[in-house]
Order: sequence, then structure tokens, then C-alpha cells
Amino acid sequence: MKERRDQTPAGRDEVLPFPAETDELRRLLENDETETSAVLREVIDRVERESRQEPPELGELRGLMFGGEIDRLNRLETRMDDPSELAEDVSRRIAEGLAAKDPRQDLFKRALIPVVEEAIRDSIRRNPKVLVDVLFPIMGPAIRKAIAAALAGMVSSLNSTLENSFSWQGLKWRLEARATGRPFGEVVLSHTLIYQVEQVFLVHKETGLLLCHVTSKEEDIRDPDLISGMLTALQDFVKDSFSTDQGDMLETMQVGEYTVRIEQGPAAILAAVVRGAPPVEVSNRLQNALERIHLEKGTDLTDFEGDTDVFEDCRPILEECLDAQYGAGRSGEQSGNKVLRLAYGLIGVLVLVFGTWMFFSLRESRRWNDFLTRLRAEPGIVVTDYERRGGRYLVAGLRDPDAADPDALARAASIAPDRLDTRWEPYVALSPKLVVARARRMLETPATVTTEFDNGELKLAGHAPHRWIAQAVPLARTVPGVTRIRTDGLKDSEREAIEATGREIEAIRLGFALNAVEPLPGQDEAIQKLVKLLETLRDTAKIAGVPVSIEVFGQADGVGSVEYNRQLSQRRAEYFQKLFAAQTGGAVTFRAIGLGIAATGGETPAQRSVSFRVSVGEAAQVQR
Amino acid sequence: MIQKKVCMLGAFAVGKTSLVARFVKSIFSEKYHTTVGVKIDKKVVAGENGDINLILWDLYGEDDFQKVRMSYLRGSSGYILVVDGTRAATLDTAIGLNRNVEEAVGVLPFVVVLNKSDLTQEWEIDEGRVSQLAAQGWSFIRGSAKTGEGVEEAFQLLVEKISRA
Repeated sequence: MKERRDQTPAGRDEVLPFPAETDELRRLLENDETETSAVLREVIDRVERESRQEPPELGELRGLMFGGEIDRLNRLETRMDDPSELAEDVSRRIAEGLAAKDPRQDLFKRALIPVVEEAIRDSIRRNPKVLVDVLFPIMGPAIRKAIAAALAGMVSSLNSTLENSFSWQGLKWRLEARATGRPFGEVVLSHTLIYQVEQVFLVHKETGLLLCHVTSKEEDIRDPDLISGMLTALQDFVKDSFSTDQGDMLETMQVGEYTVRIEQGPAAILAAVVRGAPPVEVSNRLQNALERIHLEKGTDLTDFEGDTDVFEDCRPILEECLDAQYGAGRSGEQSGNKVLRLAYGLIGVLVLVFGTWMFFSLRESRRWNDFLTRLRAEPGIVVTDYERRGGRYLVAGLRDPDAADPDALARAASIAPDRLDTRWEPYVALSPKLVVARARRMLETPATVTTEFDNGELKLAGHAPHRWIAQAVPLARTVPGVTRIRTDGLKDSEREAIEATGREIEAIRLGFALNAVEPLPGQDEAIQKLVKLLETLRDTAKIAGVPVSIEVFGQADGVGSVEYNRQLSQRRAEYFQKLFAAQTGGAVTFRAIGLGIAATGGETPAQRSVSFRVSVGEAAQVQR
Repeated sequence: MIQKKVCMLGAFAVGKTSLVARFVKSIFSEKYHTTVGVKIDKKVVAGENGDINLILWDLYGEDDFQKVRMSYLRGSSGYILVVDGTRAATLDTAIGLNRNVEEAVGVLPFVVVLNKSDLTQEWEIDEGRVSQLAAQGWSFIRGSAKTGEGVEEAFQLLVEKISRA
């Protein structure tokens, strides 16, 4: 600093002739600031004074050099001095400041808050009606919204109860009252509430003139414009007569089954004639409509000069209020009924399906148990495992080949054999029924033979062919389970037949003439019968394989010598022996025996005879 | 349709109701007067730009026992003052009423009907007072409920005054 000061004066003194104060100024710049500015002000004043006395050329020169700047300065000055332009400018700046996102601008906004608050407070203090009127269209919805939210929970709980409880109406309401803990009357009321908004009047508040009128029925509407006037008069009357508070107004009138609901707005009122008991929602709807009308027709209402045509636009809004004639309760009930009907239907179908399924399931189960019981009771079958899976039946166990057929048992229990899967391990059962079955199978027992089994002893009884008896009896001992055999009830059917034929033959006796060897003529019938019997005997004996022998006895009368008669009787027997032996072809053995004079004595023709004796089996073999 | 609210005012028994009874449409009975203090009727009058629907608020006649409720005048476009030509006191009442109205709702167009004009024998109204009031801007029309005279004119005049207001 010091150096600079030392150098500059010399240079400047040479170039420009500065006033004498220059040095003084320089000195001041380095000293006290207040002193400096005071001196500077003085210098500037002096320069200004001098410039006012300047010659016109200087002004011209200044104009040439600083013309643009001067113009701009002048414009600025005008702007600052003109209140309207300044106001416009400032308001634009304030708007920009308020709209700015810059956080530093928040300061500006914060500064405004107390001012605005104070302004509102002041306005309310002076005339609350102004702000109330301004806020009217928005306050109503806001308050209602808050109340509605608070009530929503309660209403929804009630509604759901209404819709979900089912039974006949009365019973339903009773149950509902019990379930919700509300008085029964209240529940009934909430169901039976029916009302109808029949007319709605939009009335200009100040004049009482009718602006718009809607009705649900066209007939019998008496001059609505007169009613509107009277309604207003009545309101004024009531207000003047009973109310001390400025804000209190007539809200409801009730005549018989009619209720007139009056909703107040700042410039108009809405009156609804309702038949029945109007619920709160009617008021809400009216309030809503009134707010909308104020919003849309605010100016028309305040500037009303008697022209009602402009309010024709409000007709739809008023008609909406008429539409509320059927309460939500009813439609809710209807939809509730619908839901109920659907629920009943669904439950019905479910019950039907479940019932059917239960029926078949139970029947199936019973059949399966029945089948298992039958299987278990069946000798020769041991069930070790069983299962029912996916409609199929699985059974495993032991089964004697002679036991009952499981498929037959399944059919008997009404179970289709094709749904039955079985796995049987064969085994030998020793239960009597099985031993009998096995014995009959092994011995190929004919139907005429009965079999009994008791304690190891197999008892055979009845008729059977000779050959079967011969084979079966020894075989029976080998049947598993059989330890003893009893055959005393068993009859040889062929041998019995042979013996019967033999008895018939033995009953025949043939007579002879005196001293004759051939039988008396006229006995052909007896001889023919004898031949037939012998043929039967021969055939049966052949089939059965049983030896049969026939002894032919010849007899003579007492005429003649004993020896002669013995020979004669011998010849008579031999005659028949030869005759029959040829016929039977060796299947039957014949022996002729001459008995000589008949033991009866005498000389009767009856003594001259031939008779027979038939022997079967072992006896026949002895005879030989 | 243009609608206007018009009030009928006057002292007790000046014949307000009788005056208009033949010319208006009414659905309310006389009882309203003594109960609510007002009866509302309708009168259609031809205006310059089509018909005008006048809603007549026939206010209960002022007497010693009952004052006219000024709140009923609120929103009114004009009014008719009815004076009984055979009772001079009713003109004073009308003057008083007019003052009350102007205090309550401000200056409004109005027409004065001097009723019972058929009873000329019993006429009490001083013509000098009438012309004095007329000089102040009062419009007088002689009318008779009996003959129907002056009624239509009164309404017509009022409508003209209202439309000029």
C-alpha cells in the first residue's frame, strides 16, 4: 500500500490535472471510513451542482455516450413510481416465490402464515357468515365423510349380519337381534324402513320463489310455487316466533305419514316431501344436492332477479333425490335374499351329493364287511390281509383247494368279482366240511352215496355200484384227514338187483308129465319169464363182475323105484341146466341136482318138478 | 318464466284480500292470515318480455294487536299498499307501514290502492293529502273489490315500476 502510494502521484501528476482534492481524497481513503464517505458525498454534491450549470454541449455529449442507459434508468424509475405496475410486478414475484420449489423460499411461505391466519381470524370476528358461506360447499361433504367413516364399521357389521343370517324372516331377525346384541325392534326397523321422496322443491332463500320443482307423481300437485312461498313464510314465522339464534331454522315438519325435510343453504333451500320415515340418508342426499347446486349456480342464486329458467339445469340433481325413494335396506335385503337362495341351493346340492356319497360309501362298506365276514366264516379259507383301495378290494390268505369259491362269496355279498384282487396260498384244511369235500372229490363219490365225517371217521352210506365200492373203500383211507372208514350203510346196488332177480327165479317151479324129462306143455309162459330173468341176471352179473350160480333141482314122484326116480330127477334137472347154460353163455354157473322122489311123498303131478336156487358172490363160488 | 315476489300491505280490514280475491289463484284458506300472518296467492301479469308470475304475499292487516312481520318482506320486488277510502286512519297506517318497510328492506317500488272507491258517499280520504303524497312519488290507484275496478291496473303499474327499477 505504501509503495503504491509513493509511486502513483508522480505518474498521475504528469498525465491528468486532477483537482486539488485528489490528494485529500487519497488520504481519506486510507483513514476513517465515515469521514471518507462524508467527504465523498460532499464531492459528489459539488460535481452535481457543477454539472447542472454545465453547457448544453456536455448534455448532448452525455446523451450520445449514455443514451441507452438513461432510457433504461427512466423506465425503471417509472416502474418503481407507478403503483399499479409495481403491484403487478410484486404480485408476479410473490406468485413465483410461492410456486418455487427451492427450499429457501419456504421462509417466504412461513412468513405468510401468521398474516393469513390473522386475516381469517379478523374476517370471522367481523362477520362469520362470509366464511361460512364460502366454506359451505366443502364443509358439508367433509363432515359427512368423517361421520360416514365412523359409522361405516357399525353399518357394515350390521349389514353383514343381515345378509348372512338365514331362516324365515321373523326367525332371521330374532336370531340377528340375538347375534348382534341389538334390540329386536331396532333390527326389525332397519328392515322395514320404507320411504318415498315424493316431491323436491328448490326455493330461493331470500324471495321464497320456487326455482325448480320435481315430483314422483304427475297428478294432484297443487301449485308448487305457492307451496314454496308458504314454506318460506312458515320458516320465517317459526324463526321469528320461536328461535333466538340466527342460525336456527325450521328443519322438519311432520303431518301424518308425510315429513317435510328442509335443508338450508346460504342462498337456497331444498325441501323434500317424504312419505314414510325418511332415514338420515335422505338428508344427506338433499345436503349433497344443495351443495352441488350452490357450487354450480352460486352466482345465479345471489344475482337472482326472478328468472327461474336458468335453474332448469338443476332438475337432474333434484331428480336424483327422488330416486332415493327405494332405500338401500330393501335392495340389500333383496340381494341378501338372493344370496340366501343361492346358499340354500348350494347347501341342498351339497347335502344331496354328500348324502348320495354317504349312502354308496356306507353300502359299499357294509358289503365289504359282509364279504369279509363270509370269507372268515368259510372253512378252508384263512384271511391274513385285506385292504380297500381306490374302489378295489385286495384280499390275501390261505385257501384249501376244496374250499368255497371266493368269487362266488363276493357275488353273494354284491361285490363285483372284477373289483376283487385275491392272492391265495393253497393249504390243507382238516375241518370236517373240507375233509368230506375232499373225500368226495378224490373218491368220485356218486350222488347216491352220502358221506359223513366225525372225529377222523369217514362214514359212507347209500347205494353204489359194486365196482365203485370195491375201488373206493381202500382209496378212502388215503384221503387226508380220514383215519377210519365205516361202510355198513353202504349198499352194493348191483348185487341187490341180482338177488332180487334170483328170488323171482326161485319162485318158479315147472311141472312134468309122468315119467317125462321135458316139461309139461302149456308152461311156455313160465319158461319165457324164466329165460328173461336169466338174461337180466346174466347182464347184471357181467357188469358188476359178481359170480352167480344157479342150482337146478329135479324131483320125481313115488311111482317106480327109488333109483329110477333118482335118475329121472337127474335127467329133468340136466335138461334145464343144458338149456340155460347155452343161453347165459357161461356168465352164470349151473349145477343140476336130481333129488329123486320128492320128500313130500305120494304120486301127485306136483311132485314131478324142477326148481331153482340162486347163489351170489362168495356163496356162488362155494357152490362151484 | 320470470317470477316476482310482491307483498300486499295495509291496515286491518282495508279489503286487501277481497280486492285480489277475484283476480288471483289461491289454494290457501283465510285461516293463514290469523295463524301465520300471511297467505300466499299467485297472479300472472303480462310484462314487456312475456308473462310475469307474481307471487303475492298477502300480509295480515296491521292493527293494535298484531304488527306486520317485516321478515315476510325480505326478497320482495315490490308491494301494494291498500288503503280503505272510507277510513282516513288507514292512510296513516299505510304511511307508517311504508316507513317500516323502507327501514327493514330498503326502498322498493310500490303502488297504493285506494279501496272501496264505489262507496263515494262515505269517502274520507282528503284529496289534498293524496296529491301531496303523489308529489313525493307515491302512485295512487282507485280500486273496488266490489266492482273489480283498478285491480288489474294496480298490478300492471307495479310490474312496470318493478321492471323500471
